[in-house]
Amino acid sequence: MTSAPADPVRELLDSNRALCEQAVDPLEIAAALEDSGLATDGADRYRHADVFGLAEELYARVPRRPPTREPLPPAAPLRTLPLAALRTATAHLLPLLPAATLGGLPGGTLAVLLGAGAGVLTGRRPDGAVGGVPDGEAGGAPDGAVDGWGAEQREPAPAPARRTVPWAALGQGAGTGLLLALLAAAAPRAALAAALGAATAGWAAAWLRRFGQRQGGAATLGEYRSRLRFALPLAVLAQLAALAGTGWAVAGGTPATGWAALLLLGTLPLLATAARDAGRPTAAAAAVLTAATGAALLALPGPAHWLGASPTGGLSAAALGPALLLAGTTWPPSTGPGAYR
Amino acid sequence: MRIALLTEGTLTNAQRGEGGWCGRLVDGLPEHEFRLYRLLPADRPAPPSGVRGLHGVHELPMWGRRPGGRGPTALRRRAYAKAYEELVRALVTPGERAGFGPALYRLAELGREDEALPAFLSSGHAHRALERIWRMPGADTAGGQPLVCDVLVAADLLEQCLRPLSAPWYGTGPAGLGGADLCHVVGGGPAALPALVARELHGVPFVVTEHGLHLREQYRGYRSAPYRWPVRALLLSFFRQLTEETYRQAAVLTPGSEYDRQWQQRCGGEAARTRIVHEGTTATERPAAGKEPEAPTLVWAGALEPGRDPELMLHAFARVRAELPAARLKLYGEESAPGYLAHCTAIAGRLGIADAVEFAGRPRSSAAAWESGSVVVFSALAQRSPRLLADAMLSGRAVVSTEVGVAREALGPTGLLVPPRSPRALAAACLALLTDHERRSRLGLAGRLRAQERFAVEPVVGAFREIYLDLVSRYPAFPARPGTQARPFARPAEYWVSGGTTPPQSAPAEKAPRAAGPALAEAL
Repeated sequence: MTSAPADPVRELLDSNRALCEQAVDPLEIAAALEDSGLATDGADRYRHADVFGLAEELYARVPRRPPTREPLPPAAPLRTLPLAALRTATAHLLPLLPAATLGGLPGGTLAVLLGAGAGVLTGRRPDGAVGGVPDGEAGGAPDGAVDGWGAEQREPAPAPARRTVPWAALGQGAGTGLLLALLAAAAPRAALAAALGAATAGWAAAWLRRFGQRQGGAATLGEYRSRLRFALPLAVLAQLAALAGTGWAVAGGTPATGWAALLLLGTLPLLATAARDAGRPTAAAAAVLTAATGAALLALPGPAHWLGASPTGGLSAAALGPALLLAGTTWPPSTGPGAYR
Repeated sequence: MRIALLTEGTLTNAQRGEGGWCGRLVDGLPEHEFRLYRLLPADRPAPPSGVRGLHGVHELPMWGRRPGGRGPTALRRRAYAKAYEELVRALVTPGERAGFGPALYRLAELGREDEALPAFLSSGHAHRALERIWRMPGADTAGGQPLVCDVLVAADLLEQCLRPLSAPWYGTGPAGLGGADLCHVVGGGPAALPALVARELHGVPFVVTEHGLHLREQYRGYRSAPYRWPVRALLLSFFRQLTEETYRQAAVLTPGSEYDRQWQQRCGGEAARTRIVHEGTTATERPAAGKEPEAPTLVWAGALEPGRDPELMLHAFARVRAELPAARLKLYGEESAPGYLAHCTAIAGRLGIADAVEFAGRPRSSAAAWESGSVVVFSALAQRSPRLLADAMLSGRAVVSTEVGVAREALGPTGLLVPPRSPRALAAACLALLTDHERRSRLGLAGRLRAQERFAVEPVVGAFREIYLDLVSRYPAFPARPGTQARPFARPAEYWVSGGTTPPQSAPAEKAPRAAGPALAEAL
């Protein structure tokens, strides 16, 4: 018969090294040892009174070393970018269609309704909440989710999210529809360019979200903010450049006020989506609705006549203030990590 | 007596149709008024509790999207941030553990005043406070510094875990926990949070019943959770602190087995306040299994997964078959680990016993499963719950089990215990029983009697009847407010005898455990 080794724990330690290195607490090692079939009499073999003492020794003897490459939380895949672009473009082209073909009050009304519908349909995106705490076998309750025969983790499917009226998406969509209808009445080509430019706005907003999600590996919140500080301004600049290109191709020869309206209406979707991501959907909807209402008021026969301004000029004037305000309120929260969950 | 049952709602409560453990308790104690307070997952349909005879059911959604609500005002935010920092410090700094309880109660108090706690916990202010404390020198970050993603995930999880602090359950109204005479926490974990707060606010004592410890399940569950090391460390530290605080403050702990009691004691449960109450089952009224099958048959039961070690059973059965060619093996249970059934079938084929082994899936009823064999075998590497063992013992068939977890205390001298991972020992035990009809039936009968005595419902109900009365006699019926006159007979005599003339807000906290010690020791 061979004599017991001088250090019996050493053997156990070598066979459970990964567990001990990654454990956060001696009790975690104790639970794992018990799961592997070690009971009190097993602990005797290692000259300990119980599993807890043995686990403490293992915890003390092995330095902590977490897995070298722990995966960071995944960001949205690259293919979501063109999808987002397609969705936004559809949401803008849909209300433009009746406005351009029918025109007048019926076309405008239809555009507002279609815009609201498209806003509701495309404004919804999957919720990125963190999952709950993992549940163990018995969950601690006496009638825990186990009866011992296996396959007990039959959980009911998650209930569909409670249907509440998405007022913000509704308002934003209706406002977009009205703005496009007004622009289509004054400068149809510019309106088409703005609606096409919404595709790049959707792309830019999705890129911004993905970029924010990929910065989760930053060490501190301060570093995260500094990485994100110029992301939104850059996205806006890129969107303006893309709009200029689209406008040059589609709506050449448009007057200066038309260009201004095109640029403003093309940038608003980007800002509104960024604001919605940053947890301010109401601000987004309020800005778009204010711009639309102002533009509609200025387009009424009275005021436009008195001021002698061109219709596109009135539109730009009404949209400029809300757009700037929205950009101002979106920029600070868009640099925080809470905006990209 | 008004008793508040606090539990994390589980699915099987409803599936069993009779309200499960809580239902049996409420049925058995009709003289008390029970109210059920359940924590439910927010994103799933809530199953009905199934408990009859309740005076009210209160539910709080947990685990999921945060309920709406505004954050605190700028002035109060500093108080929130301070309490939250205290809490985080107690979680990450090994020397500051004592601050956990006070910080928890401070957060609950703040949240009760303006209901802004969930919104604060998910705000940027909370994220910054968490990060600052977590990255301070002295914090335990042996496994790596937390990154931004860790801060966000941990803050989210903490917010979900702390949601019961802002439950609308406190107060002394008829539906409030302050109006109850005592709280009964069934199953530990976050369900104990309301009881802790009610104890702090209103001086309501509480009992903790755990069958299968919540903390141990967290340690097991988090090993495969998709979180990075720092998040795991923080959350497990939270659960450990919460459990320790619960055990420290509980008036009585009632674990379901000696095995659980050892864990509870390790986490600060005082032996003097602990009383083991076995989990009752209605199966004790079931008649014993009928005639044994013709061929000597071994029945194995459990989920098909590595932890239950059916491989050991197959290897042992190969040895049994070599000695006793007529022997057969039936394995009941469904696959829990994907592909494991095929793995086991392949092993049976390799050992040349495939024709004598039957994988029978989930049985119609457990009684039918036991009846189909001569001997019941459990080969698991860990037995955390005595439920299946007790069920098998109640059939009157002899039981062989590996000696892990609760097996020794459940079986006692009425079954054979073998060391885990030893096919030779298991085969020898099975052969000994299969070849000796007299011993088999003697052990089976003894096991049935033992299980009927230990796992019946009536002792459970009786134990809690005693515990409730004993507890309430030591605590005031309701807390005295400063300035109000003492009403005659508002308190039981024992309260005055034990020197309860100091304000009860602080009185139960210090005095109760000391007073409880001898009284309970006697009761035991």
